[in-house]
Amino acid sequence: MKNILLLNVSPRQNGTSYVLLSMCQDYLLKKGHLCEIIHLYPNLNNLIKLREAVDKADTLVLCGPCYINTYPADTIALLEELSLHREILHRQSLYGIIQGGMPYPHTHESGLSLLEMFCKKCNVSYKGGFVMGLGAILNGQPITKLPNSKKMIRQLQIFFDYIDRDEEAPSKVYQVAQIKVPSFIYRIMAVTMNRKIDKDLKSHGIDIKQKSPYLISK
Amino acid sequence: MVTIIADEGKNCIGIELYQGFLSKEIPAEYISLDNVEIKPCVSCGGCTYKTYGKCTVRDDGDWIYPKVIRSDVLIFVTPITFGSYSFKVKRVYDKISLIMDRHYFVENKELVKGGKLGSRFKFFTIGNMENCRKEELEAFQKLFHENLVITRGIGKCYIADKSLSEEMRNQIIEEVKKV
Repeated sequence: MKNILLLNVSPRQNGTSYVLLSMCQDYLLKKGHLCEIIHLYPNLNNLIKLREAVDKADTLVLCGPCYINTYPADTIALLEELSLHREILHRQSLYGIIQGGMPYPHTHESGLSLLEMFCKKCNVSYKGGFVMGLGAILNGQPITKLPNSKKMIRQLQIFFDYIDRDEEAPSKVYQVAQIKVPSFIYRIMAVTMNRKIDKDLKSHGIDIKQKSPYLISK
Repeated sequence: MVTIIADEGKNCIGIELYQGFLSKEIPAEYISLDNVEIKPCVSCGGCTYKTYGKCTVRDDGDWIYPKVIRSDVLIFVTPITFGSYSFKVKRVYDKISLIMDRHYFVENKELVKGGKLGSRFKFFTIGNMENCRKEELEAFQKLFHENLVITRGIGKCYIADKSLSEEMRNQIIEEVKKV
């Protein structure tokens, strides 16, 4: 039995990152581990509770959204804060999960590199990660709403199994779950999504051709 | 106009570059992130539904993003932090979609976002390699490349030591002039 800390580094406490961590928690509890989910953002001004949880943990699973190709700024601040408290870093295993809107792993993989580099410098054992594309379309709904949900759930369970066994998860685990479609489908998707964006804005009374407020302000 | 946004730490890379632009009579603006506060993006959706195109949170972004959107070229100066941008730079960058087109395009057979509103996103980064491992430099360059892909941007990534050599400074200025 291991003490596994599941860290939600998303600013949203009920979004897709939380859904993924809940699935991970359910899976690992059934395997007999101790699992707790902690949200980063309510603790931003005081990380003592989080540091204590990191110290007690055998394994850390960090899950969050992809903001411009990697985790949000506050994940970097968290890692820097942990690096200043080396006494709490004692070769824990660390796994990363990053989810973003684009369907391609390469768009989001720099987030996992961030964690890997942190581990290499700070006496933590990086054990791999999982990239989930199309995360934004879920917006907190269950994974079953994804077009590739069956494959995604199967691969997530394989990933969780690596965490259970405390083994290194290869990138192949998430790569096989990604959707592969010809580029003309992407063109259709782009047109459909753009129409949806415009329709949504219009329905809220927003003029889509208006100038940026940052160009109008002094 | 070139806008340099710098998390300098103990170094002066951004300010040296700024002086280089001025010496060549290229209009430039320098923003140090010391004593600047950009609050985190919490994905509240306010910049879509409440104040379209503008963050609902009042902070130093109120004067920084107008400068960025008016710039022809954006340059970040950042200490490379675990192969990524520093926390301070990333706080600014996390909200870059405020000045970006929300629509999707297909480039190189993949979906990408629309890029900067009204013009091409011209973006350079200078990473300070102090206390970095070789793998971090590679991770940083890969991250920058992905940034260009997702924003349909053009630009280059440079790795500098504690200070900017004259040769690198001139090289960056020449590259910026070219884009």
